[in-house]
Amino acid sequence: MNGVRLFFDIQGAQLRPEGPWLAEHPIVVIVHTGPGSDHTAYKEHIGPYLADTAQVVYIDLRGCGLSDRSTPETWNVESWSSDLHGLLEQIGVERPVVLGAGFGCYVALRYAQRWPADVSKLVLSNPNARAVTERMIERYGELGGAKAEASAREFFERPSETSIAAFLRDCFTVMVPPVYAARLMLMPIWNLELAIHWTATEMKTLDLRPGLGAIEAPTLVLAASHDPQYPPASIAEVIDGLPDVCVEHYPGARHSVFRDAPESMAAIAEFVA
Amino acid sequence: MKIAVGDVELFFDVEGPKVVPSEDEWVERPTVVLLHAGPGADHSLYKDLVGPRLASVAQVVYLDQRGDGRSSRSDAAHWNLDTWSDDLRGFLDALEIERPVLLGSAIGSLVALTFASRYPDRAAGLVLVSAVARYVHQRSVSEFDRLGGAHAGEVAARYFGDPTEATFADYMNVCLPLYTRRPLDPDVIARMRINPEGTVNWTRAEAAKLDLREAVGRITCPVLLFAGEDDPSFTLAGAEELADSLPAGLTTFRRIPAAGHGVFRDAPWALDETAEFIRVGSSVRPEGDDGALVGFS
Repeated sequence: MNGVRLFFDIQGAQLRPEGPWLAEHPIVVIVHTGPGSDHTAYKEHIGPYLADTAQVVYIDLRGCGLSDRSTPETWNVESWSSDLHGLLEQIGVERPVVLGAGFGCYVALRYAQRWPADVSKLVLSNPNARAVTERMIERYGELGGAKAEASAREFFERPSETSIAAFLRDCFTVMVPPVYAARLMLMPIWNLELAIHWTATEMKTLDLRPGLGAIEAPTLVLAASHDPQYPPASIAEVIDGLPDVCVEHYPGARHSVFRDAPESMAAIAEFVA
Repeated sequence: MKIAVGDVELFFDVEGPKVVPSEDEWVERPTVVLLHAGPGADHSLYKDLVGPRLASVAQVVYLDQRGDGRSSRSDAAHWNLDTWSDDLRGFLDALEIERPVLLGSAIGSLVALTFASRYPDRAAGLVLVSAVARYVHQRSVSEFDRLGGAHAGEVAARYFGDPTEATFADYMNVCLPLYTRRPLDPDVIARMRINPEGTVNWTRAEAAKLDLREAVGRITCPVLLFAGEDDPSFTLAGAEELADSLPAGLTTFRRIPAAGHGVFRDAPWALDETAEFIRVGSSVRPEGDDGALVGFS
């Protein structure tokens, strides 16, 4: 796809027997968080949950997981959304539900801006339209204390191998509950070079707010109150900009919404059906 | 889902993920591609029983062959085993499915056999349900005669001797109900998108000259072959002849009493054995292994 090989996986059939018919079920494409993580975490909760009633397509974005690593100058929201569009076109997926989580929401939002007619519904878990680092740093301080605040500031302002190590040490367990942190750190194939690169480049300039009004698809936003990487004030910017949106609030939930607030999965299933 | 392969678009569906989590790592499961009977039927035949069961051990890929179901119709000149097996090759290449197990029943088993003899390194194993190396119409006529009486034998003989829409209609009414011991679920029939032209064309054209006895000697992967003793269409005698033509050390032959066409409906245990074959038999073979399949003789 656009010169790279993308890994995708599928769970649940699209056509299922129902009496004398094959009933067509919706297709949900899951765009993973990160930057630099992969699709695997979703196979432990929301993916199998939705596969009961929908066909779930997992994808590893370019540079991530089992997809080609490609090169840093293509690690940006423009090429990730192009890849997604190309892949779905190649395998004949028409008007899917696109589900983005965290960082994946940047890709999902950009996809829906560029190809508004090709999305039937959008589901966004803790979406931001831009990364307001001062807000994020402040939130890391409120939820994780001075050390987390300092490490977040250092990483966002001077992204490097050293600063990301400190960031992961001091901030990851603020983003997700400590009980899940080890598994979420160890199970994906991480590309930390991509995380550093994106934080140093596109994260500083990306602003998807102007195009939000072009998104036609009905959208469900899951808004967690305690995700320092995606602060409530930034989630509110997305909600304000979307033409057709409903919101579910999850007080106390962090970045790991599906683990922290499992009731969010039923809300998505109902919205997708 | 659909994907462009050569001059056609092929419909496919998928059930069960390829990569699944275990306690502390990600595990890759085998892929099994289901090749449907026909020609003129479609993948939906596998949706109620076979696919869901196998999805517990493998990633299941359903495929509508060219001419059938939701795939491009193409034309009668391209409804043949060479084209279907090349379509399959193109399909696997496009999705980068490297070495799947192929499960086929009836014509689907012939596509699997043709593919595995042309591209021996691209199949990890074959599961063949109701398969023969060639059609000997007299064998089939005798079985219809035995199972349904002289009239059934006559109707079959008329259709084989002169395949037309009219003789096919009689055959469907009189002979199809004799295919399985348990009656076919009418919902399963209703779910198919049928292309009767494809069936008649097959009987008229390729079925008459089909002979895979030599080609199947080139197959290098393990084969699990099921034959129903009461299958009037793909007869036991035909399956025995196929088993004799397949490479000896690789083939497991199961003849099933009181089972008809597409044995799984009459003998559900065969599906369990299939699941185990896919789980064990398609695992990557160690270097230097002579190819004998663990667990089957």
